[in-house]
Amino acid sequence: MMNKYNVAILESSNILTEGMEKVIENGLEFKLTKIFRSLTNPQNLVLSSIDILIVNPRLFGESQLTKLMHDWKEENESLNIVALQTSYISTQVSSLFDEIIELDDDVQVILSKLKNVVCKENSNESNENFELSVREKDVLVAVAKGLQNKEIADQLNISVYTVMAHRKNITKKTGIKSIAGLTVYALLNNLISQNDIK
Amino acid sequence: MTELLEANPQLILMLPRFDMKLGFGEKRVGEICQTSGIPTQLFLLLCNVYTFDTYVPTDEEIAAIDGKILIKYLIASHDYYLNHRLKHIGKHIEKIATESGNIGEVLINFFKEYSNEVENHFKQEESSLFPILSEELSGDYKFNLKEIEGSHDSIGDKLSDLTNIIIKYLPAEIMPNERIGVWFDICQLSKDLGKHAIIEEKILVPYTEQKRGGK
Repeated sequence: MMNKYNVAILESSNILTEGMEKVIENGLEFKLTKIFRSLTNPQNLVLSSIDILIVNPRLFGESQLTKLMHDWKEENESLNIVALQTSYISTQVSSLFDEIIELDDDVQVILSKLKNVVCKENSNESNENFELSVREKDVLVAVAKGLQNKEIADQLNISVYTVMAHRKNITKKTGIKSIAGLTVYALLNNLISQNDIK
Repeated sequence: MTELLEANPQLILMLPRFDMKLGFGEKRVGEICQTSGIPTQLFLLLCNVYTFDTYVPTDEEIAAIDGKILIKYLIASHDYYLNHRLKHIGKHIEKIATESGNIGEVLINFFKEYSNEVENHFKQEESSLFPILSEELSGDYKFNLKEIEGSHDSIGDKLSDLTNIIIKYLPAEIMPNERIGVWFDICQLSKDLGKHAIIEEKILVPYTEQKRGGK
């Protein structure tokens, strides 16, 4: 089954982003979904559906970078952050990242680095909890009933981003992605009744 | 040809789509391609796509393709998916549904919705993407690659959901053997559809772009 990993790049240089775009296009399991060119408000990137974020560490100072990476991972727990190294970085900085891509890496090397990052993530899942939390069940029921993210957020009094994060976790735990599939799942687990969806 | 099929049995699915007949005896791939009027290079290129997960043809290989034959192949594939595989899987799902009480209807509806989505997607490709080539690449019509990819992803997601529902979430006592059987059918179809999407996204689309760009 071809499930593509979503990759985003934060980089102001056109040469680098276009080059990375070409490289990522070569990997069948990756899809470049977003390029963030602007460096204003880097703490507010929308990362909810992103699996790998590629960042050039030279764009930020060490303390700013540490803070940003903390914020990004807070918004998306399963986010992997990869450095695109264009100049020297200290070991403290390099140790922040899940992987480091260097400028003279070959296409195949880059793709296998990206692959290792997402594989590492998958192997960590083995000791995770696959039971849905109460909140996730609330969101699941709302999704199964056909509500939009905005409506769910209003109903449960949470932000749209939180709804999206819950939905991502539901999919991760159940393996079910489509709304129709989630509806069947909710029915099978008696979270909703058939009357709810008619 | 026999050796090729032994190396990857999956490749046998290509033969009817190229209108190649069984009973080919000891004939070699080149001979069979010649009798069927299929360029051997195209045949082998597709064999590579089905066999190697990381294989992507070069721009030169793509430029050498006969687009009309490739489209005929893709249309024949669509017919096989809709009229053979989905019908076959649908029958099994119906059987499982009859034993599943009130959840049966939900299961059938899920599958129907999926089948309709696939059928509409194929129709859309056949009416918008494919004619660009048969009309000698004329006109200003622009297809939307993102849309095609999105549609492929959505179809893949639903099929993967179906396998999860059948194996992981239907109650244990409902027809286990039937479910294992249909699970294999769905996995096979999913793999085949995945390759089909690669042929469209990584071969047909770049081919179309090359020809249009060259005009």
